Amino acid sequence: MKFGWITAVAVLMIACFTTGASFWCFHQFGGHRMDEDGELAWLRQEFELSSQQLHLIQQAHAEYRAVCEIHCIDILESRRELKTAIDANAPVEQINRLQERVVEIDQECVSSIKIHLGEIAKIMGGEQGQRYLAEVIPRIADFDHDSPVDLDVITEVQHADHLGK
Amino acid sequence: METPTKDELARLLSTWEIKPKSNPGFRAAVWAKIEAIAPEPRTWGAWLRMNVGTVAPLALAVITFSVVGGGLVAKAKASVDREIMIERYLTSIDPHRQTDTIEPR
Repeated sequence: MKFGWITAVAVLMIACFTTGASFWCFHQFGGHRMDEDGELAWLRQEFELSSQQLHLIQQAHAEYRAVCEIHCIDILESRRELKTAIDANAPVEQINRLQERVVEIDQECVSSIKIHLGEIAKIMGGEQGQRYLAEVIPRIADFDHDSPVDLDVITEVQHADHLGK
Repeated sequence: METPTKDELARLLSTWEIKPKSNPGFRAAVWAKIEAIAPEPRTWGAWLRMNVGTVAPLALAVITFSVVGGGLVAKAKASVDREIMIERYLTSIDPHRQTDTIEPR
């Protein structure tokens, strides 16, 4: 009877080892890995980019980050002004005007992102560019840019330096 | 009781027919009795050889299940990782994904 138990334990150990090995193999050779850090990790892993394409994308990304930071500041400023006006019980016309400004800046930002995405797709070219756009455009479009401005949430700060402005 | 004569005994024996009943479990019962008194194998190897018919298919099923299971878990994790990486990329270029988490001052 004791050999039965030894066999059961051995089979269990084999099962654990096989599961681990299978996971490692499939994860290592067949999927996306989080061990690669950086904002462009997804592009590097998912698309077959030449070193020249990657260099151009990195360049465009860095350039757009500067634009993104300006938008980020504008969005923060517009929301801050709106919050101040709401808190101060400002006239409805002023609040409406500030809300329109928030929406306007949001739309400018979305348009700017879409232009940037188009540039990246152009660098990738062909089917890859189409696949890239098919992946990112819906995510940008589906993100609720027009939702009521949440003025009270604070969880994560990426452009933290903007807050000190 | 009167003892039959030799002729009578021979006649009786000649008419005697054996009609055994069929017992499908007879062989298994015999082996069960033999195994009950058989000593336990001394080594694990001997035990495995004795039970190879049970252990081998079980081990094969477990290994198959583990490989498939590990693969499925890896696939699910890869999908989650991919979503995280895409979101990280989009967050780096979409101010809304950043400002919606920042409290205006």
